[in-house]
Amino acid sequence: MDKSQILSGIGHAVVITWVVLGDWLFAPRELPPPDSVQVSMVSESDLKAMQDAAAKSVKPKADKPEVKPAKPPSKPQVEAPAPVEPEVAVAEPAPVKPAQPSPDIPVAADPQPNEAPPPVAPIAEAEQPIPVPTVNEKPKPRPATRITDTPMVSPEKTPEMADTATPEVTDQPTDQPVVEEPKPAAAPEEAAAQTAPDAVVTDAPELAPTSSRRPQTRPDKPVVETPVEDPQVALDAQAEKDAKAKADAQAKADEKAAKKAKEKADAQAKADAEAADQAAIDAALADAASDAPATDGGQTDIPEGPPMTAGEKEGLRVSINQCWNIGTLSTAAQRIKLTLRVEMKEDGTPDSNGITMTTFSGGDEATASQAFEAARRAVIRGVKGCGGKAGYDLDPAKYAEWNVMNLNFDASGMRLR
Amino acid sequence: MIFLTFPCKLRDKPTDLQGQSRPHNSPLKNEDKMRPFKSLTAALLIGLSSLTTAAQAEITIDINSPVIEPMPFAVPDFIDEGGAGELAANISRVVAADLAGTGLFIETPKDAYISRVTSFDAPISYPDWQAINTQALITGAVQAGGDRIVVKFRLFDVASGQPLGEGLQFAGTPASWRRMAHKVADAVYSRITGEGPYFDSRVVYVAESGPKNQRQKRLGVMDYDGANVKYLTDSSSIVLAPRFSPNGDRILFTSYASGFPAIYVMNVGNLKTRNLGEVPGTMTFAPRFSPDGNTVVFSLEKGGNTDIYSMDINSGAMSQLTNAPSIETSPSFSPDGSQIVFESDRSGSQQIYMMPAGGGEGVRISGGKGRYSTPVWSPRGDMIAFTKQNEGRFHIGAMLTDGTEERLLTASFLDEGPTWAPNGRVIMFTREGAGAGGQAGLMSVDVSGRNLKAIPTEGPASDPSWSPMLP
Repeated sequence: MDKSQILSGIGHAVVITWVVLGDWLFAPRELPPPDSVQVSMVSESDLKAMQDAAAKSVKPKADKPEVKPAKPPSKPQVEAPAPVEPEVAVAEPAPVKPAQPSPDIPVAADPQPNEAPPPVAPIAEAEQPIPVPTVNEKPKPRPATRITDTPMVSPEKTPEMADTATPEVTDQPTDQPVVEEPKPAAAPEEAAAQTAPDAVVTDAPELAPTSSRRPQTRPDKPVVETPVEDPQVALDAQAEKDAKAKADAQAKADEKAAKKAKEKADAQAKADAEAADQAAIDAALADAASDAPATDGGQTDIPEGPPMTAGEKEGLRVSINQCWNIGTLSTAAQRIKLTLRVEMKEDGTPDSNGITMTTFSGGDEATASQAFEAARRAVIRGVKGCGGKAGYDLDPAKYAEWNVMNLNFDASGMRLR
Repeated sequence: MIFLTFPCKLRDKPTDLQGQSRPHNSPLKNEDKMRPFKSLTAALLIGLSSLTTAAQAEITIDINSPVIEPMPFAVPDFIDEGGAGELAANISRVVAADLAGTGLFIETPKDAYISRVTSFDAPISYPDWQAINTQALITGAVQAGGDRIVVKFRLFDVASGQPLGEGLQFAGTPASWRRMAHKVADAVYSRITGEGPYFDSRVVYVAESGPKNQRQKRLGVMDYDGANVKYLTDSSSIVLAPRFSPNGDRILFTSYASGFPAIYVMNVGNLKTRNLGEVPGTMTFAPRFSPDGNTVVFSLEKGGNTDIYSMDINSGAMSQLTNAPSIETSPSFSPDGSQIVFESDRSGSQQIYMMPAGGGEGVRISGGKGRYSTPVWSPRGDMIAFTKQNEGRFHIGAMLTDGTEERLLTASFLDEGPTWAPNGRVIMFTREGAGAGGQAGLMSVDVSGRNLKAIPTEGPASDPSWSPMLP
């Protein structure tokens, strides 16, 4: 047998023995019953009388109040509630907590507040300086690593010198095309704030964004224009051609400035158009992503609001159910399933002329007519509630949500034959 | 859905942003090529957004837990427009009683009225009626002159604040004022419920008198509500099981006038009676008209065996429809006349069977415990009412024509002999109490099992048969 198994067996045996016999072997002895101490209640009047008597019998010594602690009783049991004569009068008895006035005891005067104890230190006449900690808590800099004493060896390879001189950079403009560093395309600052001519103009109140913004479009690739035919390099300026070169450069500079201006205008116009498109796309995406009703091109006056909660819809359903009485319907009319389109007024009442039956099934038109009338009565009466139930509780702030309702009436669950 | 216009039109001639014309061979940059598509995308997104928003703007709620309770209605006294006197008020009371008697309506007490209807053409103050929770309002007026009265009425849906249908008026003799009241109630009932009318109908029944062991029976006819009772026969012979013809002009019944039960037919107009053809040595009973009124089916007992026969009421020709050693009786035609439902004990106990109108093998349709008898086909054709005896109790029940969806509508010591109202919504039957003092009476119940009520009669009554709607 393996040693570990033996040890395990011994251990288990010990544990089992402990569990079986532990309660018997190690049962705690019963605790002795607690000693009972008899106490007697001293009334407020008795206490005051005792204190007065003590004050009369013993004059307090203000200088050296001799305080003798009372001897503790040798036995915890107090035989009788004998009046305790205080052997020592306290110079300044502690204020007694005011007790409830007893009718037998005359009411004492209001206790005067004790005088304030003398200050621990005399009040300085002059303003004392604010003590400043003597310890400088300014952090000390860490010790830096030591610098090696031996200098490093300089690189052996010296930079090569070019055979030809690099032309200097001149202030004069050249005909050589300047290749600009590619920059990500960005709309002008004004583009985002400006209202594009054909963009959506909405009068709807601003709402917190309900969805994350669309990621930025990928930056346009830098436009690398085809380089024009290489002009003559201006670096070969000779003395006799300086004037001519300057004139040519000036003319080309003017031409280039005009070209730049045109390109800038093109870019501006392009950016405006793109901004308009982007704004329209963003607006469309925002409308599609949000639950808010359509802005109708900014011409709607229906207040937007958060969507109706499930509880609000359930309340509406219960109210209509309570008023939907099919007891007067024929058995055939009870089989009709119909959908009502209900236009609601802003005051939360249905427009009686705006209740129409959009679809029905399960019967002929004449029978559906009776079912429709019962359903219409349910919608109208549901405003005030039926059967003791409360009526509609529609939040006016969500009028855009409930201004039109489609109600599917189906009594197949409790149909009578 | 509103589509917004975006700069997405394709130019006929390429132009730059300054409006300068671009040469046709001038290459378009990528941005220029993509711009129409981006604009188109924007337009599509806007459209999609509008669609989504339009869908979200209309919430949809499923209403599928209706309540079944009486509809409050008000019938102010009809206006006397000349010569009507108390007749106007009486007519309005009958209208109210008819509607309230269905159990589907409950009348608003007159004490609760806020506004008074003083003129038939006066506008209705809907808020006053809405305030007292009235949902249907019936106003009417009565004109009387000579032996002619005209009753007109209007029905209003108080909740929606508009009339329900057009007003109607009826003309008749002063003696028929109850019929005109019933017609007004029928119109209101059908307009609101969609059910067919049944107030303007009559019931023929067996009026009983005397002690239970020496009971005298005679045929009586009354309005559906127990009013206007008239007796068609005297008490000289026992009569049983009267049945109205499909148009209400004749009544079939079984009489012991000859000492044996035999079938007679009575002309309601002149009360003339004739025997349909007594066969010596036989007993005929349980007659019923076919839907066309030309054929009578009945039971004929001969030699201790009872089978079902049919007879051409004009020629008297008979044909046997069943031929079994058991008792076949209580035949009833389907509304289309193609089928006959009847009871038979061929299985050992009374059960309900169905067979073609020309006879043939019957198919059992009752399948529950107990004994089934007196089946009657509904005027609608969708259900069969019956009497059921089970565990010492009698029930009036109804089931579909295939025997399914059986429901028991009543339970008592003795309920039997159901008859359908013309609209197939209400069943009338006989209920008899236990013991020597138990009296037979007429009861009615809605096919849903609600509104069980007694029909007031002058005395004990049994074997009701509902007439069709009166002309």
